[in-house]
Amino acid sequence: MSFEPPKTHLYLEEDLPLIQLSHTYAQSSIWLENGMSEQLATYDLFVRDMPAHRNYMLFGGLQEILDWLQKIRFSESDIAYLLKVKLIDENFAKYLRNFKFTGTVRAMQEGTVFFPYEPVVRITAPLIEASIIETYMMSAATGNIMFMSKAARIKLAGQNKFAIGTGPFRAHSFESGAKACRAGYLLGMALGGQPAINIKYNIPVDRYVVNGQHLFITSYPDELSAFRALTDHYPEDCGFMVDTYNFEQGIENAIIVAKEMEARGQRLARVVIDSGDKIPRCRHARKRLDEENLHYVKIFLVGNLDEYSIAELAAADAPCDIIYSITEYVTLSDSPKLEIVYKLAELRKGDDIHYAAKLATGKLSYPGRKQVYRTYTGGKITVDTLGLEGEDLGQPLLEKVMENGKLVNKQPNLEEIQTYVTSQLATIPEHLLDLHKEHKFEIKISGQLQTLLESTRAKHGAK
Amino acid sequence: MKLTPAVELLNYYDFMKYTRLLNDDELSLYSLEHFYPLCSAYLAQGMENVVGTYDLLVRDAPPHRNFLLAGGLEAIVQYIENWRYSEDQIKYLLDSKLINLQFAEYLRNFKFTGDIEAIPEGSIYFPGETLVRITAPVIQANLMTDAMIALATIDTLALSKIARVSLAAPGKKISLGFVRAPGVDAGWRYSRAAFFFHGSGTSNAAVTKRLGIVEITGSTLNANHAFIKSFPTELEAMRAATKDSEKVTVMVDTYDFEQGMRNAIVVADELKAQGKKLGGVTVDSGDLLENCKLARAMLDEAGHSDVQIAAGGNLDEYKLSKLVAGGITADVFLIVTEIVTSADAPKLETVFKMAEIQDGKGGVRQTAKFAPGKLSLPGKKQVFRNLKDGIISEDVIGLEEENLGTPLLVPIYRQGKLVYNLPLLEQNREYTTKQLATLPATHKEIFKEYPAPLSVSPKLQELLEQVRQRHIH
Repeated sequence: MSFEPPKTHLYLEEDLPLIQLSHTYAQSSIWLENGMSEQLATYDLFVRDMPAHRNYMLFGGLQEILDWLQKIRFSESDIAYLLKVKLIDENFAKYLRNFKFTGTVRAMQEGTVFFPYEPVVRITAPLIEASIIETYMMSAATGNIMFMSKAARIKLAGQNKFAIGTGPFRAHSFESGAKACRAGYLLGMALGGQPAINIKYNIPVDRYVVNGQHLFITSYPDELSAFRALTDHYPEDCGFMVDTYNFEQGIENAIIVAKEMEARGQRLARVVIDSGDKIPRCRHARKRLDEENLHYVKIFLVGNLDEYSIAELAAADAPCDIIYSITEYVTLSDSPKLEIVYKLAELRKGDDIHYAAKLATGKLSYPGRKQVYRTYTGGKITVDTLGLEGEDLGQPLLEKVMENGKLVNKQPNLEEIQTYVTSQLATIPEHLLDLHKEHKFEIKISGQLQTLLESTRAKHGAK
Repeated sequence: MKLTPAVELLNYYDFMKYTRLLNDDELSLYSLEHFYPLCSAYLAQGMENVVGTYDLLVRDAPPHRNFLLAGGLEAIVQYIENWRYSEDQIKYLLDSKLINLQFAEYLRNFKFTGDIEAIPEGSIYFPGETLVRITAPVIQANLMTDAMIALATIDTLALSKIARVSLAAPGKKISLGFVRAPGVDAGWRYSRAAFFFHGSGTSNAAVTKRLGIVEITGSTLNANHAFIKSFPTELEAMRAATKDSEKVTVMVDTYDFEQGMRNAIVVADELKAQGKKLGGVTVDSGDLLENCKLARAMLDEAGHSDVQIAAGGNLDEYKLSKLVAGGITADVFLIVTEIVTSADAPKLETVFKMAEIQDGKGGVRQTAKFAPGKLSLPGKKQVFRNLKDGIISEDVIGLEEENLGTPLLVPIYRQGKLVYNLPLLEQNREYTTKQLATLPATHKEIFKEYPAPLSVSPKLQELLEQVRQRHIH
């Protein structure tokens, strides 16, 4: 057999503009034909229902969305394809050739605590522009919101008794793994240390820690020679998994190697426990290390840990130093779904305003240019009100970040977002921090908005 | 569906430049930091020619899954074909003190030289079986671990989930939307997977363009709520949407379902008078069974029995199965959030384990891991399948040289050279359809769980015992 180039089903950067649902192109073509393309549409990006096991969410993905809005263009090849499959006509092809996003964007800052029905991004742009950016924007927001919201729970579950870390292992693709790491970093987690991700996000790394994994250990005839091979080669900041074969024996082997290192003036940094009953194993490891005067050897825990098991470890004061939550975190295993939606709220043609709302059962959307207002008591969130722009009901959460397609301000760097996230976590009401029970935080709808919804409803004759 | 000829070899993750995530070049540093110094240690100890055999597999059966479909092979081949290290990357590793100069030189000349066997994509696969078997210098195998796990995980998850959807709604059309996947990349993998099943796919133009599909079926050309709301009245919106295309379906529940249906029928009548037809109506809220029944009755009564009904709204295989059993009168199902997140079983315990090592001097040693709940099997293994009347009766994990059924692992690489022709999309679909037909009736069940018909050969068990005795005293 000879080499044949793979007939790939994978995609390139240039494919991204077309990820918008195909009906949007067909619809946009109709809007253009009907002279509706210049109408100014206002759309809201919001989450309709609180995901399972969540009492609050953190907004994420703004930087990615703003990047996209500045970059989206359609190539000749995209346009030729849309014509070929008869999704668009020549007139619309011409429109797409000159496509550029020229709208205005209001958004919550990345890291803001938010609740269902609160717009996290509000777009005001010519109707077609505002529609064509939908799928990418929803995709970008989904992963980032889900990861940040879960990372907050994991971080808080540890009660600051141990450091928390993560990595992209077993994520649903590279992209979501990288996003999970970025979100973890924003919540103050240590990263597992895939250089690709650190380079990508410009995440500073003082020194990479190195642990002998099962894969490395099994490649040597016995555990002790594997431990020695690693400590000989990388003595500065290393450790190893102690449960490849037998946990107790692994700890004893680690002690032997730690003493050998001491004799050379070096120190074993840590042991890693990846399996079994974590609390007794941590206690046994700590006890044996302390008995041998190896108080400085730290204990790392990895392996199927999430906020629930971390809370148990914290309650038991398990003597470990850092806990990695990986698979359960990056797969969002207790709550993988986010009902994010992007809904038309208003259309303007000059002074003529057409308010739009969806009235389907269980899938309500509110009309008009909205703002989210927040009030606090003692630094904690007390009331969120969804109202119309220009009302005076508390601190407005949506800020203008893009005007006529251009960024209004320099976007914060990751460390600035980190600081902001910490301050946001401090505003969450105590009862919402409960990991095990669901508590609903009801937002209020302002009188003005309620009136507008009712008049829109009356107009469309819905029951 | 028409397919254009194969497109050129692509740089897998180029698009990531756009999204500020990972592109192809960057993926070679996707391995966890430990691997660089560990591999550097191997080289320093003269272990450059030590060859290991590794298994990439799903360790535990995820909940609610009676079988998985093997995935990831195409993506793995793409990864290996593009695998190299740039000077910038090598400098980063040196600056981070993860590697020494000797290993930097090794990376400069890096080339994959190993052998790979794998179970073809779309095959019925049971957790515990070797999905991909790699025999390569230990340095290379360590460096590929994390990427291999990432690639196998997402495609196996995606194919396995959509397989259940196709079993739950036999004969129905399935249209997948990826907006709520945890990333564009994940959504893309699910979209590709959708085309492995007859009657299923996506109308996402980016996906169909890349896959070379030039006939987009009308089923999901919805005039959606935003479109309907953009016109002063529902009726005007429906007229505008359907004026030029018989492929467009209109959503009927933006405001009030029954009124929406009456409006759709007005439009259908108008179109009929012009010798055209309405593409369909879409129901995506309320009681789907009742609403579709009413929609069908209203359409039939008005003489539009040729107008299709599409149904959507948080559908997964469980709901679909019940709707189909209830005789739902929809022709097309729209699946989104629950599917592209594998919501009922988002975790796949994919692992990469060493099974054997050859010291380069003629010595061979089998390896295994004995951590509680995390056992791995030693030796160079093969997965053998036995069919009875075309239905899987038993899979046996044995040693390569055994003869216990049809071997599932086929050669993909020999000494770093690709020796496997990756199938075209339509070949994948034919193959997957045939594979699903080999499932026992029990294992096609959506609601009940059954153990996999899988055993370990006595020879392999014997070897496992030998390795256990060597390491646990």
